[in-house]
Amino acid sequence: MQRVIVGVGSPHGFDDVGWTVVDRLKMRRRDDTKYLKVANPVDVLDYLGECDELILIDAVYDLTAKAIQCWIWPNRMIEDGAYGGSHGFGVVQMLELASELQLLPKTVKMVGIGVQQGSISETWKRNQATEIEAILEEVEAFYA
Amino acid sequence: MTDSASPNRKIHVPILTRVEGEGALNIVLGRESIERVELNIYEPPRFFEAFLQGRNHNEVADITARICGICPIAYQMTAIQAIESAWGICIPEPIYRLRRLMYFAEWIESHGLHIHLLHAPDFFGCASGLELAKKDPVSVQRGLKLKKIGNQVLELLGGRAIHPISLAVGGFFRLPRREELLQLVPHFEWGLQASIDMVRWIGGFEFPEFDSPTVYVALQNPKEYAIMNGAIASSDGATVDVGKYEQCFYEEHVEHSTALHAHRVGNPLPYQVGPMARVHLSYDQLSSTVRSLAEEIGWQLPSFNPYHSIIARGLELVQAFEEGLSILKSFDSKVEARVAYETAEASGCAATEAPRGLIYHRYDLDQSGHVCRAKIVPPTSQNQRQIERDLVQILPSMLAETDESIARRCETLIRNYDPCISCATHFLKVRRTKGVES
Repeated sequence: MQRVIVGVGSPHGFDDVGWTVVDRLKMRRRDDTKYLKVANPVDVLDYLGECDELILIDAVYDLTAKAIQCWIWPNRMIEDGAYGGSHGFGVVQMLELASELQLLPKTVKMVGIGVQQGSISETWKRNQATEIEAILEEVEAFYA
Repeated sequence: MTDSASPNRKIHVPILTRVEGEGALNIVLGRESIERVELNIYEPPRFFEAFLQGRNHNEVADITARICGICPIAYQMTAIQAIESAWGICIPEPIYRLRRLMYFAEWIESHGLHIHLLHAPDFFGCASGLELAKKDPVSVQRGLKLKKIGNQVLELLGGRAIHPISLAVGGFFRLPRREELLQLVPHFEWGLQASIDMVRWIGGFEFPEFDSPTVYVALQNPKEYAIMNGAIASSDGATVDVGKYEQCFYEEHVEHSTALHAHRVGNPLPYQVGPMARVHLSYDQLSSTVRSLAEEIGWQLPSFNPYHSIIARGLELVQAFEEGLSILKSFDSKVEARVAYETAEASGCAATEAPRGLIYHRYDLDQSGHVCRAKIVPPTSQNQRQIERDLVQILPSMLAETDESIARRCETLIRNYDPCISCATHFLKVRRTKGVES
């Protein structure tokens, strides 16, 4: 089974959380999982033909109750998530388009990492080095 | 929102959709007149020119690429060419051709996305690319496949599709192997035919009848369809060397926008950059395939209908695939990746054609090759005034419509320009205000 894990984001500020997590997952894993980083969610569509399982990792606005939320698409929680995206084309719109065009793999999972008012969660800010380990453990447990 | 019966109206579109970045549109309508139209770019200024000060010249391409996730090559290439100009660096023809292929790849990715997912929905009465996919899934899938080819080239030539890392002052840090390039040939052969089919598809669209006379400004080069090299030409006959850009164009800050507005010195009227400008000013340099296709769909130049920009983008996609195919097949991999150079205290500038239009960079460099000053003028800041002028001209025909209808049609008009707000703030939400503000 080909698993593709995609970090969505940019190098700027809190928006780098998806990329950071994917970079760290890539360092920890040694299987044939494909790790990718995209700046625009629409670019995920380029890789859908290559995978059986798609895992998206992105920052989510106002996800304050918990630093991380994991969902399996389709799920109302994902649709309600405040995901940003270029051209008004965010992760949700990308998944809806892929679904309409029957491009989605059998399994699509979403990891949302909470950010608040333009900054990553307070926990992340205080101690990214140790917090990232907890995030990685949770993310890996989600798709293991 | 109010309705058309209201005596005075303010229309506010707080977030423009299907554009890159964040902007709004504010419209104030009197009883029978247009009081104010403002394209309100509220993304914070990003201060890239200041970030560049003190940086080594080798960092400039990596930093400027971060200005935009859609058109990083335009920023990188313009920056590198400006530095090369400062130090008199001449690159070999094969390297120039490979850079041109890389630039075409960015056009393919950007134009492919804009045509199919952002702009075409307007011509089908669809609110989004998703709605268009329900009506015409085959066309949308074609667009996604075209866009993917652009990204494949960027990954090969640039090391990665996002913020590529291979462009260097003097050439490339790494050249692709010839066999790697040849693997892309079948994709470009498919892309060429698919883009021709796409132009025929676009030729069947029903275009709103609206002319907005403007002055087109773009690079012009008698030897090729100008992208990276040429003089700055305008449709009113003026042509200037890139080195005189700052004598002929200037930027000013306006209260309602965090992006600067560009002007031509001594000319109060706005001007327009982008695919429409390029096609008009360099039509003869388009391939015979492209010109025949324009004739086949009945597109007559000159055209001052901004809705025709989707045709211009389509034609440029065909040009990109056709010429890109030629470059792929003929690349001489025996060339050195980089030419040697020496740093010196000098200034240099360059202009290239980003997907959205002319982009200008200038760098003042010190003896050790560090940046003392930088100036960057992106396409969207040059098109903002023309967009506002288009809106002022089209709004009188909409006065009897509801606020919702006006907002929707104004957004459609703005999308003709494929504005990139993130670049411009280095752009839209519409606010229609009831009553003239005192």
